[in-house]
Amino acid sequence: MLASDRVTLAAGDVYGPAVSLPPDLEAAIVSRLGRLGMSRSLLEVSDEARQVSADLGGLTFAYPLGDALVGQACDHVIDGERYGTLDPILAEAVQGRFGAPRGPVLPQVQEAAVSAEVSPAGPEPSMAQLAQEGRGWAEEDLVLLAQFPDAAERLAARRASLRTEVAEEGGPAIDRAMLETLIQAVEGSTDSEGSGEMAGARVTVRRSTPAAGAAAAGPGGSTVAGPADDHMHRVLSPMVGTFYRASSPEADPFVREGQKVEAGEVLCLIEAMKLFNEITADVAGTVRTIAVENGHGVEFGEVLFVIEPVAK
Amino acid sequence: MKLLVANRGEIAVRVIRTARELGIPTVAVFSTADAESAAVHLADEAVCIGPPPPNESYLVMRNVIGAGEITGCTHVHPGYGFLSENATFARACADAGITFVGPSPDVMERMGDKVQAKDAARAAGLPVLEGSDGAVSDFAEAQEAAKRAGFPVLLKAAAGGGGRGMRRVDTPEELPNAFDVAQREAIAAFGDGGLYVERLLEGARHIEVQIVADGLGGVLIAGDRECSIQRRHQKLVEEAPAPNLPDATRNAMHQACIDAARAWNYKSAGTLEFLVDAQANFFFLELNARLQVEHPVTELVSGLDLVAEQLRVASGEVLSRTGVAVANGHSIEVRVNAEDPSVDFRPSAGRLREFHMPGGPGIRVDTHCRQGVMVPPNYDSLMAKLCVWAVDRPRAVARMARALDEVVIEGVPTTVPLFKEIMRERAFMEGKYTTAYLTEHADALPTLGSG
Repeated sequence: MLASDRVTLAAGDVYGPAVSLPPDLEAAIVSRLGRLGMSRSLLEVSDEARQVSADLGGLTFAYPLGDALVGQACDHVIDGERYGTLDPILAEAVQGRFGAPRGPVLPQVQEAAVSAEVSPAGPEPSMAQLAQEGRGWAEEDLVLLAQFPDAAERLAARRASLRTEVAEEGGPAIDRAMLETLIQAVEGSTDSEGSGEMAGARVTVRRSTPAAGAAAAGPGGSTVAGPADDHMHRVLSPMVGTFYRASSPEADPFVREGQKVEAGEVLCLIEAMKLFNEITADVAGTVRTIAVENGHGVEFGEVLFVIEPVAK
Repeated sequence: MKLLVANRGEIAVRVIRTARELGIPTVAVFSTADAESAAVHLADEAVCIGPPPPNESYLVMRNVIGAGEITGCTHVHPGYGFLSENATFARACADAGITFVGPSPDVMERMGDKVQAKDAARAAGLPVLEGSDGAVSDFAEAQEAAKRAGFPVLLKAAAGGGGRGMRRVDTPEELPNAFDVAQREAIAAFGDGGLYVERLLEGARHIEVQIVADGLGGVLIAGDRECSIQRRHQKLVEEAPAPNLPDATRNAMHQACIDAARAWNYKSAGTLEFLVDAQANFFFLELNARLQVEHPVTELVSGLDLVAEQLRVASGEVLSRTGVAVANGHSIEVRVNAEDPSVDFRPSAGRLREFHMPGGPGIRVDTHCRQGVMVPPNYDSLMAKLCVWAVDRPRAVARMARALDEVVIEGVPTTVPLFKEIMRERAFMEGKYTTAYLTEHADALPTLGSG
């Protein structure tokens, strides 16, 4: 409530009802225009975005088209020229990559779309391509990879390292999820052990006692590490920052999986505020798992390395 | 924009809510004590920054800024407390390419020092309490300044706050001893023995003015607040607008704040705190260069979203409105703290076996608590801010009394019983009270246990 005689409306109510784009897109426009000192053009851009959508046969403001439509509209308003260039995603959309356009496409756009550079395979790898790359992935993993390349790669790497860890010790590959279920089942029960069949081998998980150490293998099984209370040592991040395995992009990593380390040996760097902090091993032993991908962010308390300590 | 919320508790929730309404993605930071907190659940992403003690988590700039870096944040909102008034932090954010949602580091630095702030206020034409010009270096100077100001006077630590290094001196004879003690206290608490002398205003009210400025010439007076009900210089009850404040005084205060904001080239939200004496003279105390705990009462009567305005200004936008917002109706806030009012407001940690807050017409609750969660011992004791709005003050008081009767909290002692008594106490109902309220009306407030 403002006294009209003492108030100047500075920039119009930019969050008012006249703008009806999804709020995230609206916020994107606001911040983009703000950087250019063109905040007053918000209404113009949102109108233009709706016009662009109509010109392109009624594209919806959904990912990834919403961002592209808004970007295109911003370009129009900023350049004062329509369709001087066409966003490649919009060009693909006009050509039917996301389904047939709902309405007629403006001829001017049609031309621009044909001349626009569209990468032959599109921005994401196709299922066929991924299957060809192989890696022995299941189809659902490939779908994950196609949709969330970063996370899926990490998952795969972690899984592969687990398999290696077990395989190195002469056992067969073991499904970690099943193993964890088994461990939880033992932890949650009064039984001192539980066993199950995995990958053709019988795995037994025993409740650890201070003297006996951690989960031990049954006959014909493998020695494996339980998730929490086992003899493995976990190196946790003492800070927040970006994880680097080497001192520079060209240098060799400080450590690799399977490598022996001494206490005090540098394992990785964590960078925050342009300062690089060395993280050292607090026990001597063998690096079993490197839990973070090079260049990824880590938070306080996150597991960085799993080290199997030297037996005393 | 992608926003790092560098705080915890209800204020982190408060900031995330506005960001979500604006479609801005958010990143919460949390200590291991807050892993299941409401802010962590509401934010799009969350980064653990350390163990429970604040000086190992929420106050560790490297980890807070690191969290912004690894998640690609463009802006950081500091909330209140923690790093919110730390100029070094604001500079470090800028160095890391993250925009600090708040005033410039230079302004924060100047206004954080009581002596410099007073000089800046005087230069901007704000009335200040008589006293020493800056910090006094020795006893002779203190004596001179005290004589000029007139007894009683207050000795305050230049670097201080929160009541430490503060001494009341009623007569010239008391001064030598008080000066020694205050100086020792100031050195112990702040590593700086600088003191200044100020006239002590008795029977005064604490009234503050909320401003937002865009640094581009636009200044918005969002309204004034009455915050006189305090214990140990910490507020318990706030209302907007300040009751029984003569129009002439209110207008003069607002105009003085506009002039000061322009003179300081202030940017972002801020609060100018004043003491107002029985004759309605007002004196500038300090500027809080951040969002304040009690900002919701101003939002309720002005219709503004102060966090949204802060975010606009931080993006280089102009304010959505400038001028003076006229209060519509009346709003009251009480701070529901995990404290026992009967033992000098002793804070108390514990698990909330029951936690039910009121609802219905005219109620706003800002909280991060819910049934079953721990109130950890490591942080301040604020559990919830219960605010009401009504068309006028009597109805707001009645609504707050009703709302307080609906509160159910079990597991920790709370300030709620005290508030129930205050809402039914005569001086409060008439809106006639000063910073001495809790002492003067202790008889009518049996919860305080001092009667």
